[in-house]
Amino acid sequence: MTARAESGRGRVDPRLSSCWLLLIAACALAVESGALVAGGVACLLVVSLLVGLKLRLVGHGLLATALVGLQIFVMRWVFGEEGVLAAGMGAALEGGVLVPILSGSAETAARLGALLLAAMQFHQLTRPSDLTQLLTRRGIPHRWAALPAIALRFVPLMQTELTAVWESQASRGLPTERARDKLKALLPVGLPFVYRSMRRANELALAMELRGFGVLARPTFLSELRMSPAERAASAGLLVATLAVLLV
Amino acid sequence: MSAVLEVSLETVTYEGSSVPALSGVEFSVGEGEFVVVSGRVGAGKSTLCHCLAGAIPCYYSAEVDGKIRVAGRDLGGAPIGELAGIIGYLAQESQAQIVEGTVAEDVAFGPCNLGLPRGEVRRRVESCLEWVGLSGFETRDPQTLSGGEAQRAVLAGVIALHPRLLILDEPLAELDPSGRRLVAQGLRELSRRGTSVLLATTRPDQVRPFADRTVSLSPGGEYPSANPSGVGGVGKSGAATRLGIGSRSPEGRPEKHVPGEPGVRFDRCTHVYPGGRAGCTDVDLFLEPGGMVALLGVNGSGKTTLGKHVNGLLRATTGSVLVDGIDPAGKARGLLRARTGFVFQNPDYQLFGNSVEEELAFGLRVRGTARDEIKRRVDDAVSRFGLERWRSAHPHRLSRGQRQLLAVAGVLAADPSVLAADEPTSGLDPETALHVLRELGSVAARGGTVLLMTHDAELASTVVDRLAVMEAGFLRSSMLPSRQRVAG
Repeated sequence: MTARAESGRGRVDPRLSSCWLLLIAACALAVESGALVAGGVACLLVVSLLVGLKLRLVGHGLLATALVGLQIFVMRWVFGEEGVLAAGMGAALEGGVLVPILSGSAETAARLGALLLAAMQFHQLTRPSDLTQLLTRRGIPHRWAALPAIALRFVPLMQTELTAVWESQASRGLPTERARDKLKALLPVGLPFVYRSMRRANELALAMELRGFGVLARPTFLSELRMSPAERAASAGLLVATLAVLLV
Repeated sequence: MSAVLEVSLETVTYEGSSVPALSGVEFSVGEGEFVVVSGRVGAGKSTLCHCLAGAIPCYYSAEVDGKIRVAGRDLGGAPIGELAGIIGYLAQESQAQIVEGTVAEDVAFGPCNLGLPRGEVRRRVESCLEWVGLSGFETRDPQTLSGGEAQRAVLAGVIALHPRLLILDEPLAELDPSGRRLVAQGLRELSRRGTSVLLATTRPDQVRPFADRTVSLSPGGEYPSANPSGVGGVGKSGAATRLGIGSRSPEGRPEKHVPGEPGVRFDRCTHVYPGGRAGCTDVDLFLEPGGMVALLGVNGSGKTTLGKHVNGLLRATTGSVLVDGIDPAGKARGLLRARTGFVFQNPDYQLFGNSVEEELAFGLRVRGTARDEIKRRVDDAVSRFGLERWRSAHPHRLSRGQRQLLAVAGVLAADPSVLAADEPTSGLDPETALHVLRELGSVAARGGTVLLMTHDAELASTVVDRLAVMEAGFLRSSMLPSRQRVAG
């Protein structure tokens, strides 16, 4: 019996997806060239689409990263490198200062974007129960090992809940067309969402406890983790590449 | 027959409340006995189930005066984890109890936690899914299941633990008639094999033939019950006479004229979800003004998908939907939404006000209704649904059934001219359910259009003008209810 979801999540062994995440993290944090980081982000975008990440979701992630980049730019431009108000020194108005600040901010945003895309890919490629099994095998108590998997499961659930609350309030006549409407809808959408999240967390915890969660330190799993030869080879390759990035 | 469960509760009072939610409950359940706990909305059935499963006081703060013994041990203060394998509990909202990413993994969750060998776990998963009629669903993502399918999947997960006592809170509420029969027969079979079953429901008639006995809970002082006598007087139009409801007052008529053909027209409406699954296919249906149509079908047949097109929550992938001549997902949807209403299956998605009163007023405020008119309509809704005593209570202090009533009241207070209601009577007792249906019917009696999505054909037949049956996304037939066929 296979337990792989029809959604396609969990198509690779969690050890392989972890190695991939590790490599991207190493690249994003250790590579010095901004051009290389930008190229890496472009590659990640292609890979994201290949592994089945929705274009809209990727777009949202990149938009969030761009907003963070803009904030970094504004902060650096206003306060200068040393935290002193640049306007007081006259530096904020100098064209020569603007370009390095802009490129530096873009580079930081690109590094954050790479980390975000890698995390999204990890989420897409890894089945939560496989991750739990992997962590339990590594000696982490089951109660703790299950937490990342529960969190991974909870994210799409909360997305569905938020959509349902949004639809429900819109169907009651709440305007949601314009950006201003959306801002005004924060309370009528946010409150039921928070309430639902808390209620769901409570009921999930109760259901888990009543179904024996945490009774044994090492429970059994429905399917066994097995790496194919191709997955082993790919993992080894990724680890070597990570080491190379960190050392070179 | 030795008692597996002994209950002797003086009172159960929630924190912050002075009125007990439950009082004077005393009964026992023997080994292999199938007991139904019945009661109207707000009688305290869920509170009792929470107490029996240890959720009160561990998860929900309440003062419990009394004793509960399960399999010879006192339940007071026992860690919930120790009850796994002894008590199996299915709470009212099934989707919230799904833990894993596939149906098979979720059913296996309990047996795996108990450390059973993998072969035994697989055997249990297979047999339990077959038991609830979900064979072939092993690899399905639980998020893609319909409400009824999710309820059966969670039930399979609870049964897979082979508990001595099963506590089930409204396990049939979201199931279609065939699913209900399947589950009720299965529970009877389980009890014959020695598992004790306690099933709480507002509809004891659905399980009585399979159960050994029924324990009735009378409503505590905590919650209101809908007031059937609050239904309007006998109307003049044909529909109003049939439905036994009043005609629309002149000030209740829509202020703005919407051009185009009145009513709702589905023209070869097909909706395909991302991923390629078809929700409904080639549906041709016309809902005329002044009519109430029930959309029937088993769980997952596409009723909700079709209904969501009425107010533009979904857009037809091919074909078209027109509401009063307007595309509800088009540019004019803002105008149309102010005139359409949608009662969701789960009331919690819309309740956010600090009081029942505030909640009822919300739909009117966002439509720009005048303050005096809001007050009048809120008063009217409060009295029609018997919510007078709870006007200033926080909605989330009400029971699930009452929140459902409040959600229906909130949508009706806005006086929609087109209304779609998705399982609005789920979890309500027959009397309250009929009252809700009649209230929904009042929209049709005033010249509006009502689409009711339900699997309770029997109840729907008493109020609707036409029945339409969906199967696997297709509209299979459309017919008159039996009372009209007989009359004709």
